[in-house]
Amino acid sequence: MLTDATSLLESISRGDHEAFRTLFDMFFPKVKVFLVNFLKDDKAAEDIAQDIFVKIWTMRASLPEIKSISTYIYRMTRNAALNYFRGKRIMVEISELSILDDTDVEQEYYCKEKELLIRLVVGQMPAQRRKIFTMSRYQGKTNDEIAESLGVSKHTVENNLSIALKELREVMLAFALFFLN
Amino acid sequence: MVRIKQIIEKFFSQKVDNETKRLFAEWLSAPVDKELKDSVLMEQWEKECYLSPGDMSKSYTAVEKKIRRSDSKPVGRFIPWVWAVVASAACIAMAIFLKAPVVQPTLESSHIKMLECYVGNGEKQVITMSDSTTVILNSGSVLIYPENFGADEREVYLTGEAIFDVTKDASHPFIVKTSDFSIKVLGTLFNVCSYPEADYSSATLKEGSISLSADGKEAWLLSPNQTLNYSRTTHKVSIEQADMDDAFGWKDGKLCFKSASIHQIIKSIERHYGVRVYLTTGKYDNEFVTAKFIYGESVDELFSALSLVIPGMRYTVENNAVYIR
Repeated sequence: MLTDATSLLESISRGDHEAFRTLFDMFFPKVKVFLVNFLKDDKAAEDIAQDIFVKIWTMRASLPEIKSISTYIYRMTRNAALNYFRGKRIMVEISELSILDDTDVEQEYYCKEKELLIRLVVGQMPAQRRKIFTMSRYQGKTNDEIAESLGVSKHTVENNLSIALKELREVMLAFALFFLN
Repeated sequence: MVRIKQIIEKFFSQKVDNETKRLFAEWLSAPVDKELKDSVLMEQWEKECYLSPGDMSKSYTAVEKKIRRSDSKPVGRFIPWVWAVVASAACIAMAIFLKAPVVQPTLESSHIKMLECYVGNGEKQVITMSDSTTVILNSGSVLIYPENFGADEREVYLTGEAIFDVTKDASHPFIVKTSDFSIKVLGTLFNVCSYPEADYSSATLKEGSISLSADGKEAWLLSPNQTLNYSRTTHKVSIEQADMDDAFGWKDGKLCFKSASIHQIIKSIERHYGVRVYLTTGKYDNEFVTAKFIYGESVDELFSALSLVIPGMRYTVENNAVYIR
Protein backbone atom coordinates (compact mmCIF):
# COMPACT_ATOMS: atom_id res chain seq x y z
CA MET A 1 0.00 0.00 0.00
CA LEU A 2 2.82 2.35 0.86
CA THR A 3 4.55 1.70 -2.45
CA ASP A 4 1.28 2.18 -4.27
CA ALA A 5 0.68 5.51 -2.60
CA THR A 6 4.19 6.73 -3.38
CA SER A 7 4.04 5.82 -7.06
CA LEU A 8 0.56 7.31 -7.31
CA LEU A 9 1.81 10.64 -5.95
CA GLU A 10 4.81 10.49 -8.27
CA SER A 11 2.54 10.02 -11.26
CA ILE A 12 0.28 12.89 -10.25
CA SER A 13 3.25 15.19 -9.75
CA ARG A 14 4.20 14.46 -13.33
CA GLY A 15 0.74 15.54 -14.50
CA ASP A 16 -0.93 12.14 -14.84
CA HIS A 17 -4.70 12.79 -14.86
CA GLU A 18 -5.55 9.10 -14.49
CA ALA A 19 -3.55 8.93 -11.27
CA PHE A 20 -5.25 12.10 -10.05
CA ARG A 21 -8.62 10.51 -10.74
CA THR A 22 -7.58 7.53 -8.64
CA LEU A 23 -6.61 9.78 -5.74
CA PHE A 24 -9.89 11.61 -6.17
CA ASP A 25 -11.88 8.37 -6.05
CA MET A 26 -10.05 7.35 -2.89
CA PHE A 27 -10.41 10.54 -0.91
CA PHE A 28 -13.20 12.70 -2.24
CA PRO A 29 -15.90 10.75 -0.36
CA LYS A 30 -14.01 11.17 2.89
CA VAL A 31 -13.54 14.88 2.32
CA LYS A 32 -17.12 15.49 1.25
CA VAL A 33 -18.75 13.45 4.03
CA PHE A 34 -16.48 14.96 6.67
CA LEU A 35 -17.39 18.46 5.50
CA VAL A 36 -21.10 17.73 5.27
CA ASN A 37 -21.14 16.46 8.85
CA PHE A 38 -19.02 19.37 10.02
CA LEU A 39 -20.62 22.28 8.17
CA LYS A 40 -24.17 20.92 7.93
CA ASP A 41 -24.39 22.52 4.48
CA ASP A 42 -24.27 20.29 1.43
CA LYS A 43 -23.60 23.00 -1.14
CA ALA A 44 -20.77 24.55 0.87
CA ALA A 45 -19.33 21.11 1.54
CA GLU A 46 -19.40 20.25 -2.16
CA ASP A 47 -17.77 23.55 -3.17
CA ILE A 48 -15.05 23.32 -0.55
CA ALA A 49 -14.38 19.63 -1.27
CA GLN A 50 -13.93 20.43 -4.95
CA ASP A 51 -11.65 23.36 -4.16
CA ILE A 52 -9.48 21.12 -2.01
CA PHE A 53 -8.83 18.82 -4.93
CA VAL A 54 -8.19 21.71 -7.29
CA LYS A 55 -5.60 22.84 -4.77
CA ILE A 56 -4.06 19.37 -4.62
CA TRP A 57 -3.68 19.38 -8.38
CA THR A 58 -2.27 22.90 -8.38
CA MET A 59 0.47 21.93 -5.94
CA ARG A 60 1.00 18.47 -7.39
CA ALA A 61 4.73 19.10 -7.73
CA SER A 62 5.18 18.85 -3.97
CA LEU A 63 3.04 15.73 -3.51
CA PRO A 64 5.84 13.13 -3.54
CA GLU A 65 7.33 14.78 -0.43
CA ILE A 66 4.26 13.98 1.65
CA LYS A 67 4.65 11.12 4.12
CA SER A 68 1.01 10.34 4.78
CA ILE A 69 -1.35 11.59 2.12
CA SER A 70 -4.41 10.69 4.17
CA THR A 71 -3.31 12.82 7.11
CA TYR A 72 -2.34 15.59 4.73
CA ILE A 73 -5.73 15.72 3.03
CA TYR A 74 -7.43 15.43 6.43
CA ARG A 75 -5.60 18.54 7.61
CA MET A 76 -6.52 20.46 4.46
CA THR A 77 -10.13 19.50 5.04
CA ARG A 78 -10.16 20.36 8.74
CA ASN A 79 -8.55 23.74 8.09
CA ALA A 80 -10.91 24.50 5.23
CA ALA A 81 -13.86 23.77 7.51
CA LEU A 82 -12.58 26.08 10.25
CA ASN A 83 -11.81 28.79 7.69
CA TYR A 84 -15.35 28.51 6.43
CA PHE A 85 -16.68 29.30 9.87
CA ARG A 86 -14.23 32.14 10.27
CA GLY A 87 -15.10 33.52 6.86
CA LYS A 88 -18.79 33.34 7.59
CA ARG A 89 -18.14 35.10 10.86
CA ILE A 90 -19.89 32.29 12.59
CA MET A 91 -17.19 32.24 15.17
CA VAL A 92 -14.63 34.41 16.84
CA GLU A 93 -11.27 32.95 17.87
CA ILE A 94 -11.05 32.38 21.59
CA SER A 95 -7.85 34.39 21.58
CA GLU A 96 -9.78 37.36 20.23
CA LEU A 97 -12.32 37.10 22.97
CA SER A 98 -10.64 38.66 25.95
CA ILE A 99 -7.54 39.99 27.52
CA LEU A 100 -8.33 38.40 30.85
CA ASP A 101 -5.64 36.52 32.68
CA ASP A 102 -5.04 32.83 32.17
CA THR A 103 -7.34 31.43 34.84
CA ASP A 104 -10.26 33.51 33.64
CA VAL A 105 -9.76 32.44 30.06
CA GLU A 106 -9.56 28.85 31.15
CA GLN A 107 -12.75 29.09 33.15
CA GLU A 108 -14.53 30.78 30.30
CA TYR A 109 -13.38 28.03 28.02
CA TYR A 110 -14.70 25.25 30.22
CA CYS A 111 -17.94 27.10 30.73
CA LYS A 112 -18.42 27.22 26.99
CA GLU A 113 -17.49 23.59 26.68
CA LYS A 114 -20.14 22.66 29.19
CA GLU A 115 -22.74 24.76 27.40
CA LEU A 116 -21.80 23.16 24.11
CA LEU A 117 -22.20 19.68 25.50
CA ILE A 118 -25.57 20.50 27.04
CA ARG A 119 -26.79 21.88 23.72
CA LEU A 120 -25.65 18.78 21.92
CA VAL A 121 -27.33 16.43 24.36
CA VAL A 122 -30.54 18.44 24.19
CA GLY A 123 -30.26 18.47 20.41
CA GLN A 124 -30.33 14.69 20.36
CA MET A 125 -33.48 14.40 22.46
CA PRO A 126 -36.76 13.49 20.76
CA ALA A 127 -38.62 16.58 19.55
CA GLN A 128 -41.20 16.85 22.29
CA ARG A 129 -38.80 16.31 25.16
CA ARG A 130 -36.43 18.85 23.65
CA LYS A 131 -39.23 21.35 23.37
CA ILE A 132 -40.35 20.80 26.93
CA PHE A 133 -36.83 21.08 28.31
CA THR A 134 -36.08 24.21 26.29
CA MET A 135 -39.29 25.91 27.42
CA SER A 136 -38.54 25.00 31.02
CA ARG A 137 -34.85 25.81 31.28
CA TYR A 138 -34.21 28.36 28.55
CA GLN A 139 -37.53 30.16 28.52
CA GLY A 140 -38.27 29.83 32.22
CA LYS A 141 -41.84 28.63 31.72
CA THR A 142 -43.64 26.76 34.52
CA ASN A 143 -44.76 23.16 34.07
CA ASP A 144 -48.36 24.35 33.90
CA GLU A 145 -47.59 26.87 31.19
CA ILE A 146 -45.73 24.27 29.17
CA ALA A 147 -48.52 21.71 29.52
CA GLU A 148 -51.08 24.22 28.35
CA SER A 149 -49.09 25.60 25.46
CA LEU A 150 -48.23 22.14 24.10
CA GLY A 151 -51.60 20.61 24.81
CA VAL A 152 -50.28 17.79 27.00
CA SER A 153 -50.82 16.75 30.61
CA LYS A 154 -48.73 18.19 33.40
CA HIS A 155 -47.67 14.65 34.14
CA THR A 156 -46.18 14.30 30.67
CA VAL A 157 -44.23 17.49 31.18
CA GLU A 158 -42.86 16.36 34.54
CA ASN A 159 -41.93 12.95 33.14
CA ASN A 160 -40.06 14.40 30.21
CA LEU A 161 -38.20 16.89 32.34
CA SER A 162 -37.13 14.14 34.69
CA ILE A 163 -35.81 11.98 31.85
CA ALA A 164 -34.06 14.95 30.28
CA LEU A 165 -32.33 15.83 33.52
CA LYS A 166 -31.27 12.24 34.01
CA GLU A 167 -29.69 12.16 30.56
CA LEU A 168 -27.87 15.38 31.24
CA ARG A 169 -26.66 14.24 34.63
CA GLU A 170 -25.12 11.11 33.14
CA VAL A 171 -23.27 13.08 30.55
CA MET A 172 -22.21 15.80 32.94
CA LEU A 173 -20.87 13.24 35.40
CA ALA A 174 -17.97 12.48 33.11
CA PHE A 175 -17.48 16.17 32.78
CA ALA A 176 -17.55 16.84 36.49
CA LEU A 177 -15.09 14.05 37.20
CA PHE A 178 -12.64 15.73 34.93
CA PHE A 179 -13.25 19.01 36.67
CA LEU A 180 -12.66 17.63 40.09
CA ASN A 181 -9.29 16.37 38.99
CA MET B 1 -11.01 12.56 26.68
CA VAL B 2 -14.56 11.32 27.15
CA ARG B 3 -16.09 14.75 26.95
CA ILE B 4 -14.13 15.59 23.81
CA LYS B 5 -15.32 12.38 22.21
CA GLN B 6 -18.88 13.09 23.29
CA ILE B 7 -18.86 16.60 21.90
CA ILE B 8 -17.35 15.72 18.54
CA GLU B 9 -19.35 12.54 18.01
CA LYS B 10 -22.61 14.20 18.97
CA PHE B 11 -21.91 17.26 16.83
CA PHE B 12 -21.13 15.20 13.75
CA SER B 13 -24.22 13.06 14.06
CA GLN B 14 -27.04 15.59 14.45
CA LYS B 15 -28.55 18.74 12.96
CA VAL B 16 -27.47 21.83 14.88
CA ASP B 17 -28.49 25.45 15.04
CA ASN B 18 -26.13 28.33 14.26
CA GLU B 19 -25.41 29.09 17.90
CA THR B 20 -24.26 25.53 18.49
CA LYS B 21 -22.18 25.66 15.28
CA ARG B 22 -20.48 28.76 16.59
CA LEU B 23 -19.77 27.28 20.00
CA PHE B 24 -18.38 24.15 18.39
CA ALA B 25 -16.12 25.98 15.96
CA GLU B 26 -14.76 28.20 18.69
CA TRP B 27 -14.26 25.26 21.02
CA LEU B 28 -12.50 23.25 18.36
CA SER B 29 -10.09 25.96 17.36
CA ALA B 30 -9.16 26.76 20.97
CA PRO B 31 -5.63 25.56 21.78
CA VAL B 32 -6.76 23.56 24.86
CA ASP B 33 -6.44 19.79 24.30
CA LYS B 34 -5.43 20.38 20.70
CA GLU B 35 -4.00 16.93 20.06
CA LEU B 36 -6.83 15.06 21.74
CA LYS B 37 -9.38 16.97 19.68
CA ASP B 38 -7.46 16.25 16.52
CA SER B 39 -7.21 12.53 17.17
CA VAL B 40 -10.95 12.28 17.83
CA LEU B 41 -11.62 14.25 14.65
CA MET B 42 -9.41 11.89 12.71
CA GLU B 43 -11.58 9.01 13.90
CA GLN B 44 -14.43 10.74 12.09
CA TRP B 45 -12.21 11.07 9.04
CA GLU B 46 -11.31 7.36 9.05
CA LYS B 47 -14.95 6.27 8.92
CA GLU B 48 -16.14 4.36 5.90
CA CYS B 49 -17.63 6.78 3.36
CA TYR B 50 -19.52 6.16 0.21
CA LEU B 51 -20.81 8.43 -2.55
CA SER B 52 -22.76 7.20 -5.57
CA PRO B 53 -20.82 6.82 -8.84
CA GLY B 54 -23.15 9.40 -10.40
CA ASP B 55 -22.33 11.99 -7.76
CA MET B 56 -18.65 11.13 -7.97
CA SER B 57 -18.44 11.77 -11.70
CA LYS B 58 -20.44 14.98 -11.37
CA SER B 59 -18.05 16.21 -8.72
CA TYR B 60 -14.99 15.13 -10.68
CA THR B 61 -16.21 16.92 -13.79
CA ALA B 62 -16.67 20.06 -11.74
CA VAL B 63 -13.15 19.73 -10.35
CA GLU B 64 -11.72 19.32 -13.86
CA LYS B 65 -13.61 22.40 -14.98
CA LYS B 66 -12.22 24.46 -12.12
CA ILE B 67 -8.72 23.17 -12.85
CA ARG B 68 -8.98 24.14 -16.50
CA ARG B 69 -10.22 27.57 -15.53
CA SER B 70 -7.30 28.21 -13.18
CA ASP B 71 -4.87 26.92 -15.79
CA SER B 72 -6.19 29.15 -18.57
CA LYS B 73 -4.13 31.71 -20.39
CA PRO B 74 -3.60 35.26 -19.11
CA VAL B 75 -5.12 38.63 -19.97
CA GLY B 76 -4.16 39.03 -23.59
CA ARG B 77 -6.64 36.35 -24.69
CA PHE B 78 -9.70 37.78 -23.05
CA ILE B 79 -9.91 41.26 -24.42
CA PRO B 80 -10.08 40.10 -28.04
CA TRP B 81 -12.75 37.58 -27.06
CA VAL B 82 -14.87 40.24 -25.46
CA TRP B 83 -14.33 42.64 -28.36
CA ALA B 84 -15.41 39.99 -30.85
CA VAL B 85 -18.60 39.16 -29.02
CA VAL B 86 -19.48 42.78 -28.43
CA ALA B 87 -18.86 43.77 -32.04
CA SER B 88 -21.07 41.04 -33.35
CA ALA B 89 -23.85 41.97 -30.96
CA ALA B 90 -24.18 45.65 -31.76
CA CYS B 91 -21.98 48.57 -32.61
CA ILE B 92 -23.28 50.58 -29.70
CA ALA B 93 -21.71 48.13 -27.30
CA MET B 94 -18.28 49.18 -28.53
CA ALA B 95 -18.89 52.53 -26.91
CA ILE B 96 -18.54 51.07 -23.50
CA PHE B 97 -14.98 49.95 -24.12
CA LEU B 98 -13.96 53.01 -26.09
CA LYS B 99 -15.22 55.36 -23.47
CA ALA B 100 -14.21 53.52 -20.35
CA PRO B 101 -10.55 52.48 -20.37
CA VAL B 102 -11.06 51.40 -16.81
CA VAL B 103 -12.40 48.09 -18.17
CA GLN B 104 -9.02 46.65 -19.15
CA PRO B 105 -7.27 46.47 -15.80
CA THR B 106 -10.22 44.64 -14.27
CA LEU B 107 -10.05 41.89 -16.86
CA GLU B 108 -6.65 41.00 -15.49
CA SER B 109 -8.24 38.41 -13.22
CA SER B 110 -7.53 35.99 -15.99
CA HIS B 111 -9.62 33.07 -14.89
CA ILE B 112 -12.93 34.91 -14.73
CA LYS B 113 -15.26 34.03 -17.55
CA MET B 114 -17.34 36.98 -18.72
CA LEU B 115 -20.85 36.59 -20.07
CA GLU B 116 -22.59 39.05 -22.29
CA CYS B 117 -26.31 39.57 -22.62
CA TYR B 118 -27.60 41.55 -25.56
CA VAL B 119 -31.27 42.51 -25.73
CA GLY B 120 -32.64 43.62 -29.07
CA ASN B 121 -35.26 46.26 -29.74
CA GLY B 122 -38.73 45.36 -28.66
CA GLU B 123 -37.45 42.88 -26.10
CA LYS B 124 -36.66 42.69 -22.43
CA GLN B 125 -34.64 40.13 -20.57
CA VAL B 126 -34.24 39.05 -16.97
CA ILE B 127 -30.84 37.84 -15.85
CA THR B 128 -30.03 36.11 -12.57
CA MET B 129 -26.41 36.25 -11.51
CA SER B 130 -24.30 33.87 -9.51
CA ASP B 131 -25.05 35.79 -6.31
CA SER B 132 -28.83 35.82 -6.97
CA THR B 133 -28.83 39.46 -8.03
CA THR B 134 -31.52 39.93 -10.68
CA VAL B 135 -31.27 42.36 -13.54
CA ILE B 136 -34.07 43.32 -15.92
CA LEU B 137 -32.45 44.51 -19.14
CA ASN B 138 -34.41 46.89 -21.32
CA SER B 139 -34.51 46.88 -25.10
CA GLY B 140 -31.35 47.82 -26.91
CA SER B 141 -29.10 47.12 -23.97
CA VAL B 142 -26.00 45.10 -23.29
CA LEU B 143 -24.87 43.79 -19.93
CA ILE B 144 -21.46 42.22 -19.47
CA TYR B 145 -20.90 40.32 -16.24
CA PRO B 146 -18.78 37.51 -14.82
CA GLU B 147 -20.19 33.99 -14.83
CA ASN B 148 -19.15 33.69 -11.21
CA PHE B 149 -18.33 36.55 -8.94
CA GLY B 150 -14.86 36.33 -7.49
CA ALA B 151 -13.41 37.19 -4.14
CA ASP B 152 -13.41 40.95 -4.58
CA GLU B 153 -15.94 43.40 -5.83
CA ARG B 154 -18.79 42.33 -8.04
CA GLU B 155 -18.42 44.34 -11.25
CA VAL B 156 -20.72 44.48 -14.25
CA TYR B 157 -20.76 46.71 -17.34
CA LEU B 158 -23.89 48.23 -18.77
CA THR B 159 -24.80 50.04 -21.96
CA GLY B 160 -28.46 50.88 -22.15
CA GLU B 161 -30.96 50.54 -19.37
CA ALA B 162 -31.57 48.04 -16.60
CA ILE B 163 -33.21 47.62 -13.24
CA PHE B 164 -30.98 46.03 -10.66
CA ASP B 165 -32.12 44.14 -7.60
CA VAL B 166 -28.84 43.48 -5.85
CA THR B 167 -28.20 40.81 -3.23
CA LYS B 168 -26.86 42.40 -0.11
CA ASP B 169 -23.24 41.55 0.58
CA ALA B 170 -21.31 44.29 2.28
CA SER B 171 -18.03 42.47 1.91
CA HIS B 172 -18.34 42.33 -1.87
CA PRO B 173 -19.61 45.69 -3.14
CA PHE B 174 -21.63 45.53 -6.34
CA ILE B 175 -20.48 48.00 -8.97
CA VAL B 176 -22.26 48.92 -12.19
CA LYS B 177 -19.97 50.57 -14.71
CA THR B 178 -21.40 52.65 -17.53
CA SER B 179 -19.63 54.96 -19.92
CA ASP B 180 -20.29 57.99 -17.73
CA PHE B 181 -20.27 56.79 -14.21
CA SER B 182 -19.69 53.93 -11.81
CA ILE B 183 -22.38 53.04 -9.33
CA LYS B 184 -21.39 51.38 -6.12
CA VAL B 185 -24.25 49.52 -4.62
CA LEU B 186 -24.94 48.97 -1.01
CA GLY B 187 -27.67 46.32 -1.36
CA THR B 188 -30.61 47.58 -3.20
CA LEU B 189 -33.12 48.19 -6.02
CA PHE B 190 -32.38 50.80 -8.66
CA ASN B 191 -32.58 51.73 -12.32
CA VAL B 192 -29.74 52.83 -14.54
CA CYS B 193 -30.29 54.54 -17.86
CA SER B 194 -27.28 55.08 -20.06
CA TYR B 195 -28.05 54.88 -23.76
CA PRO B 196 -25.16 55.95 -25.97
CA GLU B 197 -27.15 58.27 -28.25
CA ALA B 198 -28.97 60.14 -25.50
CA ASP B 199 -27.91 63.55 -24.18
CA TYR B 200 -27.99 62.38 -20.64
CA SER B 201 -27.74 59.30 -18.48
CA SER B 202 -29.36 58.70 -15.13
CA ALA B 203 -29.75 56.44 -12.15
CA THR B 204 -32.85 56.19 -9.96
CA LEU B 205 -33.01 54.55 -6.57
CA LYS B 206 -36.02 52.74 -5.21
CA GLU B 207 -34.67 50.98 -2.09
CA GLY B 208 -31.39 50.84 -0.23
CA SER B 209 -28.58 53.21 -1.08
CA ILE B 210 -26.08 53.69 -3.87
CA SER B 211 -23.09 55.93 -4.41
CA LEU B 212 -22.07 57.20 -7.82
CA SER B 213 -18.78 58.49 -9.09
CA ALA B 214 -18.17 60.03 -12.49
CA ASP B 215 -14.88 60.90 -14.16
CA GLY B 216 -13.16 59.27 -11.24
CA LYS B 217 -13.97 62.06 -8.86
CA GLU B 218 -16.64 62.86 -6.30
CA ALA B 219 -19.22 60.60 -4.99
CA TRP B 220 -22.91 61.29 -4.94
CA LEU B 221 -24.95 59.35 -2.47
CA LEU B 222 -28.53 58.64 -3.48
CA SER B 223 -31.43 58.05 -1.14
CA PRO B 224 -34.56 56.19 -2.16
CA ASN B 225 -36.84 58.10 -4.55
CA GLN B 226 -34.05 60.20 -5.94
CA THR B 227 -32.78 60.39 -9.49
CA LEU B 228 -29.33 61.49 -10.48
CA ASN B 229 -29.14 63.01 -13.96
CA TYR B 230 -25.86 63.45 -15.77
CA SER B 231 -25.87 65.68 -18.81
CA ARG B 232 -23.39 64.66 -21.47
CA THR B 233 -23.54 68.08 -23.03
CA THR B 234 -22.86 70.17 -19.96
CA HIS B 235 -21.22 67.45 -17.84
CA LYS B 236 -23.36 68.63 -14.99
CA VAL B 237 -24.94 66.42 -12.41
CA SER B 238 -28.29 67.09 -10.82
CA ILE B 239 -30.20 65.17 -8.22
CA GLU B 240 -33.95 65.45 -8.10
CA GLN B 241 -37.08 63.83 -6.80
CA ALA B 242 -37.68 60.69 -8.82
CA ASP B 243 -40.64 59.98 -11.01
CA MET B 244 -40.93 56.26 -10.38
CA ASP B 245 -43.10 55.64 -13.42
CA ASP B 246 -40.56 57.37 -15.55
CA ALA B 247 -37.64 55.35 -14.23
CA PHE B 248 -39.11 51.92 -13.54
CA GLY B 249 -42.25 51.93 -15.64
CA TRP B 250 -40.60 50.38 -18.68
CA LYS B 251 -40.49 46.98 -17.08
CA ASP B 252 -44.29 46.95 -17.04
CA GLY B 253 -44.41 48.20 -20.59
CA LYS B 254 -44.84 51.86 -19.72
CA LEU B 255 -43.31 54.59 -21.80
CA CYS B 256 -42.57 57.98 -20.32
CA PHE B 257 -41.44 61.16 -21.99
CA LYS B 258 -40.43 64.27 -20.13
CA SER B 259 -39.79 67.24 -22.41
CA ALA B 260 -38.49 64.80 -24.92
CA SER B 261 -37.55 65.84 -28.42
CA ILE B 262 -38.96 64.05 -31.43
CA HIS B 263 -35.65 62.29 -31.92
CA GLN B 264 -35.55 60.97 -28.37
CA ILE B 265 -39.15 59.85 -28.72
CA ILE B 266 -38.40 58.02 -31.93
CA LYS B 267 -35.40 56.29 -30.40
CA SER B 268 -37.48 55.15 -27.43
CA ILE B 269 -40.29 53.92 -29.62
CA GLU B 270 -37.94 51.98 -31.87
CA ARG B 271 -36.39 50.32 -28.85
CA HIS B 272 -39.61 49.66 -27.01
CA TYR B 273 -41.65 48.25 -29.89
CA GLY B 274 -38.90 46.98 -32.16
CA VAL B 275 -40.24 48.98 -35.12
CA ARG B 276 -38.40 51.29 -37.48
CA VAL B 277 -39.45 54.93 -37.53
CA TYR B 278 -38.64 57.13 -40.51
CA LEU B 279 -38.61 60.88 -40.11
CA THR B 280 -37.69 62.90 -43.16
CA THR B 281 -38.42 66.42 -42.04
CA GLY B 282 -36.91 68.76 -39.48
CA LYS B 283 -40.32 70.39 -38.88
CA TYR B 284 -40.73 68.96 -35.40
CA ASP B 285 -37.24 69.48 -34.08
CA ASN B 286 -38.35 72.18 -31.70
CA GLU B 287 -41.28 70.32 -30.26
CA PHE B 288 -40.88 68.84 -26.80
CA VAL B 289 -43.31 66.31 -25.47
CA THR B 290 -44.22 65.27 -21.96
CA ALA B 291 -46.43 62.21 -21.91
CA LYS B 292 -46.91 58.87 -20.22
CA PHE B 293 -48.14 55.75 -21.91
CA ILE B 294 -48.96 53.28 -19.20
CA TYR B 295 -51.67 51.08 -20.60
CA GLY B 296 -49.54 49.09 -23.02
CA GLU B 297 -50.68 51.20 -25.94
CA SER B 298 -50.00 49.93 -29.43
CA VAL B 299 -47.79 51.82 -31.87
CA ASP B 300 -50.85 53.17 -33.61
CA GLU B 301 -52.50 54.37 -30.41
CA LEU B 302 -49.25 55.96 -29.34
CA PHE B 303 -48.77 57.89 -32.57
CA SER B 304 -52.38 58.84 -32.58
CA ALA B 305 -51.89 60.45 -29.19
CA LEU B 306 -48.63 62.09 -30.27
CA SER B 307 -50.26 63.64 -33.30
CA LEU B 308 -52.69 65.37 -30.96
CA VAL B 309 -49.83 66.84 -29.02
CA ILE B 310 -47.57 67.72 -31.93
CA PRO B 311 -49.53 70.04 -34.18
CA GLY B 312 -49.64 69.02 -37.83
CA MET B 313 -47.84 65.71 -37.38
CA ARG B 314 -49.01 62.98 -39.73
CA TYR B 315 -47.90 59.42 -39.91
CA THR B 316 -48.53 56.11 -41.62
CA VAL B 317 -47.90 52.66 -40.22
CA GLU B 318 -46.85 50.00 -42.69
CA ASN B 319 -45.78 46.52 -41.63
CA ASN B 320 -43.15 47.09 -39.01
CA ALA B 321 -42.37 50.66 -39.95
CA VAL B 322 -43.77 54.10 -39.20
CA TYR B 323 -43.35 57.03 -41.54
CA ILE B 324 -43.72 60.51 -40.10
CA ARG B 325 -44.46 63.47 -42.33
